[in-house]
Amino acid sequence: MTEQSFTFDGSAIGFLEGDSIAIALLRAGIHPTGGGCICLEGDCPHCLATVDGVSYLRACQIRARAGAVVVSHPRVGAPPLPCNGHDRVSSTTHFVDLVVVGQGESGRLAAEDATKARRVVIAVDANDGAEAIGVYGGPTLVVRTPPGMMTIHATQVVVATGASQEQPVCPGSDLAGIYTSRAAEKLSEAGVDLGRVVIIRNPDRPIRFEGTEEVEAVVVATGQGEQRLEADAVVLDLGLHPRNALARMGHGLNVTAIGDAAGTDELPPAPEDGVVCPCSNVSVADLVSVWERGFREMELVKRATLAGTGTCQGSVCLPHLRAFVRDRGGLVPEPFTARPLSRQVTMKEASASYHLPPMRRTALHDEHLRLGAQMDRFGGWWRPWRYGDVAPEYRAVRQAVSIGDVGTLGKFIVAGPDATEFLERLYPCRVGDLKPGRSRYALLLDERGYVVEDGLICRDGANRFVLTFTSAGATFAEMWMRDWADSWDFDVRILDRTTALGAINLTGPLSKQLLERAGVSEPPRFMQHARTEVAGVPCHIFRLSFTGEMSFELHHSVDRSVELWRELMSLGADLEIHPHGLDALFALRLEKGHIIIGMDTEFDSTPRRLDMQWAVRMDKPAFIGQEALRRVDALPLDKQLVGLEAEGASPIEGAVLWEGDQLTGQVTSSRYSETLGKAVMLGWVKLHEGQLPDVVTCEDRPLTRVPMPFYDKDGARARG
Amino acid sequence: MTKTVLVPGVEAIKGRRVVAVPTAIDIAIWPPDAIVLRLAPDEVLVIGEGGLSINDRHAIIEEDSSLAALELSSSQARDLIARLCDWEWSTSGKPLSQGLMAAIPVKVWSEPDRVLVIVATSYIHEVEERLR
Repeated sequence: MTEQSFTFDGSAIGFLEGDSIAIALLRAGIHPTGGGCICLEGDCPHCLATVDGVSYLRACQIRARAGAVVVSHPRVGAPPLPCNGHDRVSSTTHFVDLVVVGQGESGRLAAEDATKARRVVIAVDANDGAEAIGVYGGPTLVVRTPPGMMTIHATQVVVATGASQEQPVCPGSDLAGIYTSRAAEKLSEAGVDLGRVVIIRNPDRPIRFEGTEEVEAVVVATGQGEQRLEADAVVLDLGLHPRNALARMGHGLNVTAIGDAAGTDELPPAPEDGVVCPCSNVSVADLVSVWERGFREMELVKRATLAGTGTCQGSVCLPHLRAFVRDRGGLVPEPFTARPLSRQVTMKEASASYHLPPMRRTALHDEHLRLGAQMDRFGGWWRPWRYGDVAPEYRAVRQAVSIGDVGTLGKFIVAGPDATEFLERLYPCRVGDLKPGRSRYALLLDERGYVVEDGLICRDGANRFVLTFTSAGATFAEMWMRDWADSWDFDVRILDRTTALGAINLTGPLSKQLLERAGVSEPPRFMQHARTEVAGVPCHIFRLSFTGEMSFELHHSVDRSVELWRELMSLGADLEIHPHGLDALFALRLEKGHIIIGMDTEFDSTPRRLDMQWAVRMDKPAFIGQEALRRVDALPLDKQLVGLEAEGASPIEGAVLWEGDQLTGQVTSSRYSETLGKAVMLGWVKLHEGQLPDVVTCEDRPLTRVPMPFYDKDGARARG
Repeated sequence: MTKTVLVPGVEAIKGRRVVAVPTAIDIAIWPPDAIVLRLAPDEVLVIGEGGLSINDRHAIIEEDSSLAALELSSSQARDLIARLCDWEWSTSGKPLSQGLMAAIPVKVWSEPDRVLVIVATSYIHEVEERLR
């Protein structure tokens, strides 16, 4: 014995060079799980342990290492979830012609033949630490190795994993001191003394094992009847069963079993007593019980008892389950379905090749941080929520001047001979009458007439348009436009400029004054756009208003964003300029009743339900959703997005709305309006007999329905 | 190529996006020393100075300063792609590959003595964190 040792449940266990943890424990007279037939081939659950914080590891497949901390699994219940740091497990992806799983004789020959044929081959073997644990479509094989996970995309997978030795099912099979013949051979080679050994060979079968914790005797059924044999260890050679779970996982794919893994499965006699599935602790009595209740197919027996769903995934119990069903049902059933994964993996291993979708940053991200912004995730971007106190941001917009980063907005160019006709069909509003230099707010509908997106249509020339979309909707909008352009076979070109262009929203009653300081003496009028330099930065200026105040959206090359932002902040210093974040923006736009797609809209929001029929021209020849709108608009209106107001604090967004004791809808947007001195909201309410309720209740307070918008009803401030 | 270092090893690049009918792109004349990335049948990213000629009067040609490039050796690129991509990279085929690298959209441009991993600057911070 060397001086090397690891700990098992706190006790030092010495080991020899080359020992697995299981062999070292058995040499020390310790059964890793307390009892059950040991296979030492990774098939059974009887050496599972927690090693260095990772549970469900097979001690027979882990080389003993000095200092390792091994903890036995509890006899009842599950081991603790691993909690061993947040470092990633590495992952590699490979593309090959052939992957061979198992490097026994047949596997080695298959790999050699393929290599000679100049095919790109990867061979893996659990005995070398590369354990194939799942076959997916492709076929794609997932392999766990000491350095990390491998994902192998292969033209063909060959499964040469051999055969496993049958485990006993009879009373006392959970005692220590029971081994398969291969396990006994390995223990003998390792110099482990098993004491008095009784060997039972097929077709003889054990009827029961006797003992308290360890085997003391075995009763065997032989051709000559029952025989009781005293022993310290019982070695079993009851037959082989193809180790073909990976091949069964690859059903329908180019996955082939060879060698013993492709062998015929000679089923044992049907079990009569004892535990069939040691992982899920399913006994023969449990199988009989479910059978008598009508679960009379393999898959049903599996589901009803959970046999085969445990850590060994049927390696131990499958032959016995099939024998049970054959005996009762008269036909030999197919094995139950094998699904990935065949082994327990840690969360780190499961997530090894996964990366969260990245969040984008605008060019002004560091500028926002420098100004003390609290950043948040919106529409796939990091955006400033507020820069400290939201009140000065709100007041700057309403009373002076403010800038906001809207570089996240979707921005597209559409050009080509069919551009106008294309957009006429795409949008429910008119496009052809839009003059160059003019802009129009537009909804985007799907085929059902539901609002899926909104933004601006800006005519840039006879056959050229700039379109804007919401930050979260830009990707969808591009897909939507390209699909329809292809479907209609229109001659258009589409370019996504979202990340190439920064955009700063200059807003507030003093915004025009600030623009003049920045060198723009004649800014575009409301809903017009023009190109000019702003503080020396070439910009495309769009005059619009989401905040309710005079606003100019300054689109510019993204590498000039910081320069433009700082210049505007500097020029507006004595005008009390203050940047605004999304928190202030949401309050400002709510006062104007401007909706936010996805927040105020539901999946089935038609323009009529949003009270936005003004954005639809049904007299146009055709547009997406037109036919659906004709049908649904002929039906009585059932619900509508309305403006609500109340004294006092604003209810939370999502709060339930009641009409009497009937639930009528919910609040979608809610803020306390400093300007109006009351809470203002958007919310969905149901109509009864064609009438909208005048008053609803929310959190036991009355809310009054009011015409929209709440602020600047005639739009004079926005128009300047 | 403009040499503005955004994060160590990653430099800002300026290019032009060209969207035109595919047949016009097929026979367009590009600047002699430019890198020309055919991103789609109707879209090209041109990295490099100089005039270009394309026979499509409706073509969209726009400057694009929203890109950055990470320059690697072939072996570095091969390692990176094996670790972080679920797609096959072949230097023997087309010089341009496009896909996700650690979930970040990238374009991989292969030359005999170097490989450029091109990414939008809005993802630069993620490049620094995920690709190293």
